[in-house]
Amino acid sequence: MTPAPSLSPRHLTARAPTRTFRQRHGGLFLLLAPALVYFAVFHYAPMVGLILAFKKFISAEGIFGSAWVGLDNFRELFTNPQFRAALGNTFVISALRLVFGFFAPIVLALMLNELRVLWFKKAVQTVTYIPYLLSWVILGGIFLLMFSTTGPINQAIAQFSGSPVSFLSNDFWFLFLLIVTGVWHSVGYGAVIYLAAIAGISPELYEASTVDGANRWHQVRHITLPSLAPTIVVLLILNLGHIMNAGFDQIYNLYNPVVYGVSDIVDTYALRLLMQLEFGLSTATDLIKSVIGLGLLVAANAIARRATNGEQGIF
Amino acid sequence: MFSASPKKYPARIVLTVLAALWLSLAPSGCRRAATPASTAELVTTFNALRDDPQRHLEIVWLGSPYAEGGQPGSWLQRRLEEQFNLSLEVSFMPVFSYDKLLKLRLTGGQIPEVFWLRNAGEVRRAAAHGFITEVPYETLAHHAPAYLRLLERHAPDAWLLSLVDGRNFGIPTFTTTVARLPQTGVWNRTWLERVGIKKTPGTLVEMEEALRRFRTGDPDRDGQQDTFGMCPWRPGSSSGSGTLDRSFEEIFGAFGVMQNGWMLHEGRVVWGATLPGARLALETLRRWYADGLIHPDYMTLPIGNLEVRSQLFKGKVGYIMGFNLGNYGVFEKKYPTSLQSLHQAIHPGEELAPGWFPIGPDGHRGVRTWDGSIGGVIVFGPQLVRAPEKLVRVLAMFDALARDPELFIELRVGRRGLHWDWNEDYGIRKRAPYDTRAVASAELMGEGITNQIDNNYGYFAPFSAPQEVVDRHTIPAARQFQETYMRPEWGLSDVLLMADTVPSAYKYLHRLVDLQATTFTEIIIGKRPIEAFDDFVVRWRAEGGDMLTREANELYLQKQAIRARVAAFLVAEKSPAPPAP
Repeated sequence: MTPAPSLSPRHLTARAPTRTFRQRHGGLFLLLAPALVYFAVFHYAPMVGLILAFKKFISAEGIFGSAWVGLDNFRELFTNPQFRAALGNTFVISALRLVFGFFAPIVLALMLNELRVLWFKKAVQTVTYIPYLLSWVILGGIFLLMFSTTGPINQAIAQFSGSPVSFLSNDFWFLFLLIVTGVWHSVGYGAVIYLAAIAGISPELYEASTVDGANRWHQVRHITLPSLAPTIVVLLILNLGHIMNAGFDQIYNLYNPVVYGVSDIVDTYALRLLMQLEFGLSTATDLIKSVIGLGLLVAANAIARRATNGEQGIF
Repeated sequence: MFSASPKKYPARIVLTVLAALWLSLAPSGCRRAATPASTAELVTTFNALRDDPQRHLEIVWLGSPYAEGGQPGSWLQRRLEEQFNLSLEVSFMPVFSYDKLLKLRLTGGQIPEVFWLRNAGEVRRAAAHGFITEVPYETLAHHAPAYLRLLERHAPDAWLLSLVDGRNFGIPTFTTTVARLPQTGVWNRTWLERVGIKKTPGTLVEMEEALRRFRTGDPDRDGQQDTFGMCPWRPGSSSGSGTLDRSFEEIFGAFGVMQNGWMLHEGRVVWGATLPGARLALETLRRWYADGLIHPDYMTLPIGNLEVRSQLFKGKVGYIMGFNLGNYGVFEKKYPTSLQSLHQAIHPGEELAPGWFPIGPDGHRGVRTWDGSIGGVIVFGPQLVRAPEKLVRVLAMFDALARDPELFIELRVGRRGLHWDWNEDYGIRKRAPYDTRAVASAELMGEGITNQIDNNYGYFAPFSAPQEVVDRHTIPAARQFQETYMRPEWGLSDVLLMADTVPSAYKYLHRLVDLQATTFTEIIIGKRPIEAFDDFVVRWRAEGGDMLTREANELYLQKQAIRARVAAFLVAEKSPAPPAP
């Protein structure tokens, strides 16, 4: 047997810097490059355009040639009653979505995890996932028909109580419809993430708890949920960052003049501005959205870190 | 090239990539056009030039979006190119997304040399962003005098469509039948007979009685109370494009109100929906809705004629009012796709009947019409200031179309004997294979579908035929229908042509239209009391309405001045009058 070459720790540390960085990590950077380019091109470069929020944009003069107007665009937005209403509606709808929509996929994932008949589990998973693949343009049409005062839902209600419910023109019921159909639309997709996290929990924990006499309920409470906590926290923080996105597609395809009062959100408002070529105002609208989203994200992260002594959080 | 230092390397590479990208992308957003020329300079540039028919020109053309199914290289395009020594680069956009897609194209820097804008608001926005060039009145009078005389005769107020800060930014178009004559509602005559009504309702009282019997008298004979009276056009705008609220027009008309435009009231220009008559109309509609005379979901149905029609076909209602849904062709069984034919395919034997505009308590009646133009402005990209020969050629083309009705008709529906024949029963009737939708659309740019020469939607001839040419191509039965049901005196017209001709409309009108649609609908469906109307008027005035009203009154005075100016330029040109068609 040939003796092993002597590789002292000193030898290693002395050699490392002499191998170029490029030789050691070049391949990794090559792999990273497409993602970096993607972010640079589609996420960072367009940010130049944010200066439009402080300008009166004239296309012919270009982004840099247009005149600066300071905070005029923001002043105009905040003195506009429609924008203030839209901002309020966005918060209300998002908060409702978060309260009712955030936990639904967790519950679904926990329940799916308890199913032992594999084909049934797969079937439920598929059925709950499918709505996510359907566009709101299609779903909007379906729901408008289903929930109209002469539609099947109201016909069924009429069989029992007799008085039709104006789901689409009553403020409360419209919000109810938004939230419920929103949850229905995305619950299956959300559950997949949690199911993946559950799959990563060590089976030994469950086995050990069974030995200790834990029943299913104990296992969910003391093993599954605590193990899911990091995923839940990360998703909650990310969700908070998106709180200003109150679901444009869905609302745009469902709303009507009678419920503008509760359903006109920042995005629908910004779309109208864009259609009027008001680039300055609509950039300002989006900047406000982003700043609020970022603020909430940072705050939520800080709270998560403090509550867990720095163990959880995304940064 | 790369630093050997492991620390600096990634930071440098990332920064270099970012900087390179910023530098390469940023300039695309900082296009800078030449400083716009003054009116006087433009007059000098454009008027000094004479069209040289020998010179071959290439023009990038985006016509009106109503050329559904149109294709590049069509017969119409070849015809135009041959006559005017042109090569055209044409493109098409779907009618419902035209405004959005066009804006994407314009802001992306791809400005067509000649294109179509829907209304005054679009023209104003395009001018503000430098997407279109001013075309002085003098230039139009110099190069297209015959067209301007047609415009003066058919739509003298159309200049409001292209007016921006006292300057003219395009060629406004005119429309004959559709703009001049009001369109009726549609009754299910069979239902009327079944509930014991012999005569189509003529007054508001009679209308209410008929609608009530539709609700209670089981007109569909199925033993259930599952029918309603009427279905109107859905209120409000569908897509943020500022479409005006057209719901219940004929009911507002019965109270002397045009709810979506500028009216003269006690010597001043006012917004129709703020007049006391609107309150009375709302009280009536509120009662009707509560009693089930109006389709309960009218405000949430998808917007458009298709949905309004489908409520009639489904047997839910016995009276509908749509957009351009009440004219001669609608009630004729001889046209396979007429409303009457489609309805009978579902309900054999059921007859439809044109409605009368209901007469209100004070004798008012009517619905909105336009004073000769339903919008549509042909505009020119700013690059044509540097290529004035193209602009002059297009104006020469407009003038030729205005002088020569035969050329106009060829550029709208094709050649007689090749694409169509005249038929006393049908009017213009397509020959095979142009009688199939696909062939007609491709070769005749959508015009083959409509056979109409009296709208302003032509892709290459974007205005209407002169009235006498339209009359010559209107079959007697259609004319009789118009004289009976669509009398011009029943049209309520906007004194400023359209709501958004007012300068600040782009800023306030949309939200005021939304406010109006929401409040009126809430009152009608009983969500808010009738007193909400008074709050609406206060809010309407405070949230921009007062400003708009002031401008509307100024514009009203200004429009006479523009007309006089154009007339003076025409006189100065002393060009020969067009030959009588």
